[in-house]
Amino acid sequence: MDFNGSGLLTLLIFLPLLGAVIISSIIRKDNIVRYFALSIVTIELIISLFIFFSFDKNSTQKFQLIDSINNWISVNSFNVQYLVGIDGLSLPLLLLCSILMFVAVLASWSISSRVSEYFTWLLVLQTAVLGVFCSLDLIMFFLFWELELVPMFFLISIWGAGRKEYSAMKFLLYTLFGSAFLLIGILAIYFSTDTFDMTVLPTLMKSSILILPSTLIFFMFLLGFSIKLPVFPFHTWLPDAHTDAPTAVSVILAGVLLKMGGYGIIRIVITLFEEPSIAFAYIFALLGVVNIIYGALITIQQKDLKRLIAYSSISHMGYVLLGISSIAATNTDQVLLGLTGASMQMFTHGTITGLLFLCVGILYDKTHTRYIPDLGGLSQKMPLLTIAIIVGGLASLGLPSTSGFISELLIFLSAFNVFPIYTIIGVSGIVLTAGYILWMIQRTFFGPINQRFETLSGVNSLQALAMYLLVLSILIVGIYPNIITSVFESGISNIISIPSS
Amino acid sequence: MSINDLLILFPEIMVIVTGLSILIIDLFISNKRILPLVTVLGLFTALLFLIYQMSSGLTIDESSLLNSAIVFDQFGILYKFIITFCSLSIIIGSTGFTKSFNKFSSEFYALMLFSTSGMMFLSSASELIFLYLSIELTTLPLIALSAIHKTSKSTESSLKFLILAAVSSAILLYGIVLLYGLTGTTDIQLISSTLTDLFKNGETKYIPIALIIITLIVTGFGFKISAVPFQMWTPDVYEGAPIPITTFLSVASKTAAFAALIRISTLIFPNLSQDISWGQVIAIISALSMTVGNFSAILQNSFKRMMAYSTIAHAGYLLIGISAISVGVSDLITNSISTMTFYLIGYCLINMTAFISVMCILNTIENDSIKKLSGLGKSSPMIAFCLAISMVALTGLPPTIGFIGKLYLFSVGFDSGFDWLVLIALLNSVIAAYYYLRVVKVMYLETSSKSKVFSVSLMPKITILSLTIFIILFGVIPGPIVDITINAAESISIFR
Repeated sequence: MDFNGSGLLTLLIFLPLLGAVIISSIIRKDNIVRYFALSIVTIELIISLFIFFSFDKNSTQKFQLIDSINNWISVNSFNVQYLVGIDGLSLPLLLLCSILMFVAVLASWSISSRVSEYFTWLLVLQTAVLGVFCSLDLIMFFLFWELELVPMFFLISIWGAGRKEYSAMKFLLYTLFGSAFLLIGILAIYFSTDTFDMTVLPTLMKSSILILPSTLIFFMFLLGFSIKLPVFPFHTWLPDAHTDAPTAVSVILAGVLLKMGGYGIIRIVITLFEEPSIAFAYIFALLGVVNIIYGALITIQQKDLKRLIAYSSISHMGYVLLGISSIAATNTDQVLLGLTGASMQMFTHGTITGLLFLCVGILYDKTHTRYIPDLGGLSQKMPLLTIAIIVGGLASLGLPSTSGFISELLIFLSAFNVFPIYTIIGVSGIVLTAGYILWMIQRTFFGPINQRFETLSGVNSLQALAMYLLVLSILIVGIYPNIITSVFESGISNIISIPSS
Repeated sequence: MSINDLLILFPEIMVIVTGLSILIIDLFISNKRILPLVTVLGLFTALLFLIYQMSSGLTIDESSLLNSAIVFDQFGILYKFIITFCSLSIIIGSTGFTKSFNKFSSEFYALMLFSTSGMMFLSSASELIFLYLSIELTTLPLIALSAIHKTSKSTESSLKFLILAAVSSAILLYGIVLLYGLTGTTDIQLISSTLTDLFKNGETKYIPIALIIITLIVTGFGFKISAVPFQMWTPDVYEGAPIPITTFLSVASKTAAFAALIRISTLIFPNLSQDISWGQVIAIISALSMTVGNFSAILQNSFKRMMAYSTIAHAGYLLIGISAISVGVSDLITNSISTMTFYLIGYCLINMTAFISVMCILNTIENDSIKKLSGLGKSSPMIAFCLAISMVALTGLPPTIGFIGKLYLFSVGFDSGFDWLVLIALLNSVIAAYYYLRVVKVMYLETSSKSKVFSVSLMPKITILSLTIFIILFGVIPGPIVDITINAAESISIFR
């Protein structure tokens, strides 16, 4: 049990867990709990920013900041190690998680029932998600992947609204069903190559004989990750869970948890199963387009603001799949472009949808309704919120100079070479997006104001801080996308350079 | 029998002597509060001695006792340790509950101890008649104990238990007799070498009788570990018996039965003809057990019945390990024994936490509907927390020992080529999540109509809290436990 490494990532992953233990066991006063949780996520954000800016994009090492403990579980045939590290692919997602967690804590300030439990689970969730993005050992990855379910189950089912228990259980069972296949896939890889170590697996997989057909393992992983992303027809848990979860949890769910699926596809499916991925790239493209169009068509019909944004997430995750489908391109640059676009889409969707859910949550706190026909003219009462939601909405439909534009552009550019028909259909999704976003904003924030909202007050400074942090990140990435794309590119070029060597 | 032999048998003797002295003390001292104290003291001494035996590396030559009726190996010691630990925890945890049968408390403690000693013998029995006797010594006190409340339900369940235990023992005994007829000995190690001779060079003459032997032994043990299709007594007995006895049945009794089953399936079954694919049969029983157990558990309203079906499902998971033994690769056998042992340790810790938590709340004989737990999250947060952790662990989610146990067990199952079985098991865990987490949901999300304040005494609280700590601790640092189970597994497979 020797610890190697700088310990920075270990600190980043387990600091929230430590915070959760302290909150649940020591702190009694609700207000102190809130400030304590805030200070933990602030430290996390600072560490993440530090890691982000000190990251060496040109390093020859594939993974940086590696912490390891050999032989965490060690049996003669079964060797699991504690191994965490980051590369260009996981780093922006790590940063995304820290930003959204910071926002989530701010957005949870008004939670008044069972405060210490709430923040305990929220911090445990942060540990789990960061762990997923940092794990370089398949079993560790799986452990954090499963760990995330426990806090989510409690957060949705205790602090949610509506059919919260049903939604929480549905979310849990869907994910568990997917992870059953993940575990089979992981074990199949292990018994073919004798290692769980993701740093050496890409090369080992080339040289070893798999005990199950690689296409079968490929589809098992794909199924597991598709449920999380979610991909049609496994998406039905998402609207329920998003709608019934408390605001902050919706932000995390849409912003970070969905990305675990996309991250898994790129990190494991694409990296380890290159041949099946190329052979079945049309499945990615097809499902991607179905997600985009089907998601958008359903979104237009929604009258509940939260459900509307939830379905728009399904549509936007379709772009990620379409970007991934460019793996079939013959030109490596095209592949790089497409995967970078897909990763960018995950990052930008995280900030954009996080912002939209946050705005809707604040709106609901004030108006006690999310039913669009009941709303209207709110821009007069809540100018700050209106500006934020307009920025989020425009970014969501991919307006240039917002971050949404960059990722969609990259995806369409690369996918068009491989699957022109699918891409053309996919591009038309933007029109639908513009439709439902602008229509939603128009019905909710403009037009005549409903009589009962005459006395509505504006947002408070905490809420404004949370919203404008995300607005800022959307604009920064939109105007200077290189800050994120270069990092993604460095990580993805490592992943796709393996076949050529 | 030398003094050294006595030292080796000391834990068992200690437990029996404590049981006897409970009966004697009860005659002279009217204060019942001394009885649990004496019991705990006796069990604790036995536990300490077992730890000493575990750490003192004994060699194999001096290990067989009483004309090799008992084998003295790390495997046996570890299982004795688990059983003694379970029995100790249950007795400490049920101090509040035992007040409800105050009149019979000396019988309760004495019978618990006798049954414990039977299980300890069972886990180190190396001779089939002795093994049979140990099973009887284990079961008979439990039959009496399950009727200790003298309600009609309890009596009925005890009668059912008696009949099925007798039938299953008879079936097992018949298998033993046939095995004796085939090999001329009842010593497990001699049997295994005789069988190797009988079946070498692809001899097929004895295959029919070997098939019957396997069927009978598997059936006999199938009843003991409540695997499908021999499970039907389980829910009724679990429901009718008082909770401490249900707990004891579901953890210690099952552990001991698995100890004997592991020993037999490692030393006897593989030496039968290679043409008999008994592993496949076990695998089918395993798949049936988990599926039937989990699906039936969904429908239950009674906590004890739900846990009974959950026990059946877990027996199914554990049988994956037995199937893995059938593959016959030496490394794999060691691993599957080790993983089953690890899983059993986790299972015992988790089930005891769950049962003792519920016991604290139901301090009386009233019904144990899951609905009764509503609002527990508010009225007694600590017990609710422990129960919630145990449910999460039974589901097999991290960071608990349940997760590591399943991971390790399934990986060994996968390694041995039973990948279809592992897939069934994994899908079953999804089904199981539904009913385990329903308990959590009821505790935290539903508010009870009347706010009850439970006065829980200190000892049960300490017990469940420390068990919960173990569940999480070994979920994060499983290494030391895995090492111990590997040691145990190596000590048994060395005889092959």
